[in-house]
Amino acid sequence: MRRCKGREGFDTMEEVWVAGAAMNRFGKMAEKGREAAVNASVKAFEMSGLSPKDIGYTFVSNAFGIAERQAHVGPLINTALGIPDVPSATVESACSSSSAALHEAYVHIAGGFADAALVVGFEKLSHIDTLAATSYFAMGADYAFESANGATFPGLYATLATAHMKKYGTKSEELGAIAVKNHANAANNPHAHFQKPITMDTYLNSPIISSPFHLYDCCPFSDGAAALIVANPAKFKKDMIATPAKIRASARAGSVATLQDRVDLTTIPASRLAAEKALRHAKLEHKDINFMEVHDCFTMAEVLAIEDMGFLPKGHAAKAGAEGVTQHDGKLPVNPSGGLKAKGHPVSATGAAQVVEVLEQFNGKAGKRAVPGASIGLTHNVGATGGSCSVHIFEKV
Amino acid sequence: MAASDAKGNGTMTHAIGDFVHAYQEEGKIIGVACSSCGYKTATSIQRCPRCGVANLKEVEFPKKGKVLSFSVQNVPSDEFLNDAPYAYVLVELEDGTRVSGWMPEVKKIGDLAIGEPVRWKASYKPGMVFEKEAGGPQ
Repeated sequence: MRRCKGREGFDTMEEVWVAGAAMNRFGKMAEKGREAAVNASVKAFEMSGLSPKDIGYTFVSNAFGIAERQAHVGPLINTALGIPDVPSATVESACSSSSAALHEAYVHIAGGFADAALVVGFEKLSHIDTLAATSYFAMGADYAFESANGATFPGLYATLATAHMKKYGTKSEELGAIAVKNHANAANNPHAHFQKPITMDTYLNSPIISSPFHLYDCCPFSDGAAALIVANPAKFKKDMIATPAKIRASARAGSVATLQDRVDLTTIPASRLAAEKALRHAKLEHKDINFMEVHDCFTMAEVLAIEDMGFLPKGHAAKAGAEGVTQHDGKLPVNPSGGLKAKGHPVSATGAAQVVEVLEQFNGKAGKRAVPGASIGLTHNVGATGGSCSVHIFEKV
Repeated sequence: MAASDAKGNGTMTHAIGDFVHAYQEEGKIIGVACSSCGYKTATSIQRCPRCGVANLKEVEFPKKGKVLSFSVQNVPSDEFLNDAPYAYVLVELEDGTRVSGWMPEVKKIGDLAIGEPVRWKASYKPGMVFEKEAGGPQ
């Protein structure tokens, strides 16, 4: 396997902090996506202490903008924020779109091309039916070879799950424990799509969507918006009013997109590569990470994330989850927000919303889902079945 | 097979449309093999994803293999609305090449197992239908 290439002259770059992070309640939005994006941006600016006029660039993510018949939405958002002259671009990387946008903001600020940037991701699909939404989601995979053979998006992750269960003996009840844990966390998160805990019986009795996945293995289709204010502290530290998160690493990697061309169906190589790169850039080890928000579009995706990033050996994460290790107050807290699974997954808002959770944990605003002593957090955001992956590491300032 | 673009200019090689044409019109599974590392794939590439080398030749693959993994689809996408339930399958062909396909005869998880022998049956909109070597579900 070839290594990710890229300059590693990190000691010479500008520091990059997240000064503000806001999201709406995931679920169904009455307003249009662009309106929700502007509202989340205004809230993020208010939290940060910076104003729109401080921004040098806006990075927008809206992978399924086609559902609202709207592309090129950056200028609309900037105009609504009173900064029509600021450049913008849409960053698309399927489900990892807004973490890819955050990476672009990081690169701009670290490289001195901007002093501050707005990252805003949003999605609205609730006005189209499940069949159409399922069809859109399938477009993130290899349409010609996977979707043409009837693979839905859950079907592709389910195919990885079937292989993982066969190789490592992973059980449905262990996946169910992940669903139960993430729903319990979401019940303590006012931003979450689902606000009620579920039981193992509810999980096991829910219908099979794509074997071996039950309905409760799958994240919901959610609407939502999340925004981040990213800034160079050398320019804006005096303005910041919330506890910021220093970006210790912003790393991305890719894998072969089509499952049939993967060497191993029980692993997502991009997760391993991005995590290795992020830990190396941050000069940190696995044990230094207090908590993580990982990409659990399906319960098995949480298992793959923990294992592929090297936090537990292959075949151990599902069992560890069932033993309580990944609870918000456990040894390895995973998805204290409720994750994509229960907080919801408005595709292009997800990566930014993971960072909202990091800021809430750092700012003491996580309530009953608080991770004790949270000062270093990691976010892991996957595009489709692992063709893309972003890993960010944040430190409380 | 001489690959060509829509105008017959011959500029495209290993085109997706040629692969589909081979399933549908010729009853063949075709793809490319890397002359350097030997990697074989039934998807469209211009450089080998394993070793990066551009020296690829078009090859025809065997039509028998075994199930690598699968998932029974109860909630299909729009193009397969009238076919559910069925299984999406990853098949390892006898020469080691891996392809995607689907199996209408597999209606629930117990109908198929990893490692079961399967064979290519037909092309269908525009994927590949596989069936169990032994015949239909027992």
